[in-house]
Amino acid sequence: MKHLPVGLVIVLLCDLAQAAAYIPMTDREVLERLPISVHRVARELRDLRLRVQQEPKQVEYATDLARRYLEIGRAEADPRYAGYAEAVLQPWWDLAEAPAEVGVLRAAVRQHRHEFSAALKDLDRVLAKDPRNGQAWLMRSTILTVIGRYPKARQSCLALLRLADALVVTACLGAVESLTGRARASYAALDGAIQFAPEADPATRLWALTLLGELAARLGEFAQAERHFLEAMGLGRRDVYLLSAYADFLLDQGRYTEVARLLRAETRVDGLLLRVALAEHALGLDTAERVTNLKARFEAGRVRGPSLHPGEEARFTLVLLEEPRRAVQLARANWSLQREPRDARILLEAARAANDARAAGPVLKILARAGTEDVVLRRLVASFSAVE
Amino acid sequence: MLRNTLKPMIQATALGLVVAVAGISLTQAASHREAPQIAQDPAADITDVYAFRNWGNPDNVVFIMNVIPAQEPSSGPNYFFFDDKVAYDFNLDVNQDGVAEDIIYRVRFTTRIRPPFDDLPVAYAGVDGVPGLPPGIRDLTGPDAAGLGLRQRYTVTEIRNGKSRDLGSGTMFAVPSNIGPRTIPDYESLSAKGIYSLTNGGRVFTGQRDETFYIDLGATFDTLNFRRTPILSAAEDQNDRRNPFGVDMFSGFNVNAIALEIPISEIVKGSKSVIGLYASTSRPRVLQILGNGTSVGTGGFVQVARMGNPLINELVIGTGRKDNWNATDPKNEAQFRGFYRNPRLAAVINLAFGVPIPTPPRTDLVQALLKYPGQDATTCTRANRCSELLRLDVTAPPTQPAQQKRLGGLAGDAAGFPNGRRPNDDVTDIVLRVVAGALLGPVPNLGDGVNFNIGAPGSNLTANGIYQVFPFLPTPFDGRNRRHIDCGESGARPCN
Repeated sequence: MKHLPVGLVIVLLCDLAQAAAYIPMTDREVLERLPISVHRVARELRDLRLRVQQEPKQVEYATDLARRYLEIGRAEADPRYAGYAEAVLQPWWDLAEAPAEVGVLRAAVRQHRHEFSAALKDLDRVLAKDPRNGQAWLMRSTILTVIGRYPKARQSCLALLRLADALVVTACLGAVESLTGRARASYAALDGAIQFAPEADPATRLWALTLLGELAARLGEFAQAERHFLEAMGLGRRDVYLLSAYADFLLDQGRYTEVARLLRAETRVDGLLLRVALAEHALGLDTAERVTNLKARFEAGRVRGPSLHPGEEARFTLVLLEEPRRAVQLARANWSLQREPRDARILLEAARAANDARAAGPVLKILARAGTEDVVLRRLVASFSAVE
Repeated sequence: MLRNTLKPMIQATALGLVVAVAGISLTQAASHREAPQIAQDPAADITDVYAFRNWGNPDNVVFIMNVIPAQEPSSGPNYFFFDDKVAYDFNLDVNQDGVAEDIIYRVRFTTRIRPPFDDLPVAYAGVDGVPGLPPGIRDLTGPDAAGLGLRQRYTVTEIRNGKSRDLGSGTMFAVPSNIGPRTIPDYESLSAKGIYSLTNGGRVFTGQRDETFYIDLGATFDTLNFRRTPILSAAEDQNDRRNPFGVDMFSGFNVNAIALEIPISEIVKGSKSVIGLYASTSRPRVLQILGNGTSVGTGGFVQVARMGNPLINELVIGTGRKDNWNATDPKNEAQFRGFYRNPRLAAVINLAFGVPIPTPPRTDLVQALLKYPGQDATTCTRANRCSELLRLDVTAPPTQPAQQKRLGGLAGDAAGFPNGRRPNDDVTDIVLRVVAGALLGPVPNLGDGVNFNIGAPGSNLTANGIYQVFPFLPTPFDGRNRRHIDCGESGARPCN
């Protein structure tokens, strides 16, 4: 085997039993992009880990390291980092009355694993002892928005009025209000807030810009959406959620080649591999290998426990496997966990394809009551009432 | 036959991970939105500032500064105490030039850990009737104070026209945290001993009190209606003794207070009856950390926090410039004028409550927060400064506790905020309405649903938690029996 220079990265084989090894043509060919700047972050992590090794019961060291792990894991959508964070927090993990900082991080790990009730309990305990913990309020609001409990999510955002800056409060509120009939006002408020916050923390900016992009897309303001997504990408911070959101936007716009180009080197991440496959499928390319790969990924995910993202699998099953009934099942399982517009969408799309108006029922009711605005959802909703 | 070519080309050994696995899902996309890590605001030294005429003795005004907020009463073994390195200042403008340097009342602390506690892991101890142990703490000095291991002495200095005057009439001690009934059998009696006379005819108290800032951080919205906005009905709005839908999540927390009572005649000499005030904390410019675990400050004081009107930093400035704002002088508020003229909070109010807001520029806010009555709110100049001060008209008659309205000036109670600020004024509701335009015309009854300080312990209280005598803040919760009034308890709304 030709010896590859250190500058290149790992070759991953799709399937050990069947695929042939891929041998790059030149040394310079990029096979895969490593998630992080290995050297700089690695050094930082090494220093943090050293401190923890020396004093594993020192809460501050442990939470610093765990927080860093979670930041990386969130940016990379890599669930292993949640595991590393949990390992570091072991001395306090099972304590009901853990220190506030541990409680917040434990909630972060749990919500990442979709254990939303447990995460909310953790946050409530933290807030009972430390009502000025802004991170806890923000996380509480985000989780509550994901599971569709909007009044409490809104109230959590209001708690941030005195604890975080205007951009955070506006984005927090905007996320909720945009789902309950005030999407335009949310968009305008958030757009204004970002302009007034040039010194905002980059992580906050990226989060706010991503939200703006998604909001604009849901309002049908596609040029604006593009602008916001590009500005977010231009911050140079790796964020898989942003990449997914932008890819979904491009897919909806029919810009499949761009999706393929954007995500070409990102196939390590299941959700991004899925979007590449969706783009290639739309372009009429042969996706058999992608499909096999994804099937294996979802299967492997199930081996570890219930699928962590039945919504993605539902989309895969509907579009690439063309099995609408099974897609409905998966989408319903997903809907029982979480209730964001994308979760409503995949359920309605699957139900539409399977001609299963009953499956769509609960979603249609909730959307109507909340007043959620979304141009794609509106079309889907209309398609069901037209049939009646 | 395919050989096993799984040897990793690169081992990410710097991460301690070997990232070369085949066929197994390594990563997924985040299938739901997650909150980012936000910058936690640094703990502001000052949490609240009050200024009002003593309704029991209207010849005097009272200034209070609260620091170290949200104290969980049971936080042993050291509890909460003031910082020796900090200068706690009340800065007054008495000639309405917007520069609050005319009189400064400065409070400084000196902490001592008294034997035998310098050798013990606890700062306080006291049990009646156990030989070998100090008795319960019943005094701040003398044999009944034997259990007061960590004790803080303090001075009050008046600085006027460059001259300093010590106002203390003897040695003065801060009242310690309310640890619990065994260590401090009669906390109210002990804290009364912490009220000292000043040589200018005033009084002073420093020590722990109940956190009177009430805000609903756990409102129970009507979950059957996705869009219920927290607007109070007329009946709810007028009832200062019931929380219509909120839960005061600060119930059960304590704060450290510095309370000064000063004769008005000491402050107001001429005809200008409206004074301006801000409180500040300052620290030494240089802090040397010594090898033995202590530190020493040198190089003059640098202001690290200030507060005049409530909620300015959080709601009006509202951006990541809070550190910057905290270090500046109120007289230079012109540099932040844009935030007052076009407050971010207005957009948030519109988004959260759905009420229309007045179009900028908001000269009404500049007038209310940065100017004395009669000054021109359209400009900020050296002769006509925009100065962020809490302004108090010392000729407005005080309102007795039973007649006080939590909405102060907005409910016709001219002795309340924005004319000065009393501990039980509902500044959250007031500020929300003022930003929504209450000074320009009627606005809906915006509010957080918490109308009073529920569950305040101890004596001298009205039904809605107003502490009627100096230092005008309730007895703090004790560490042993502290009570957070949670949702579902009587007086609060049911949990949701």
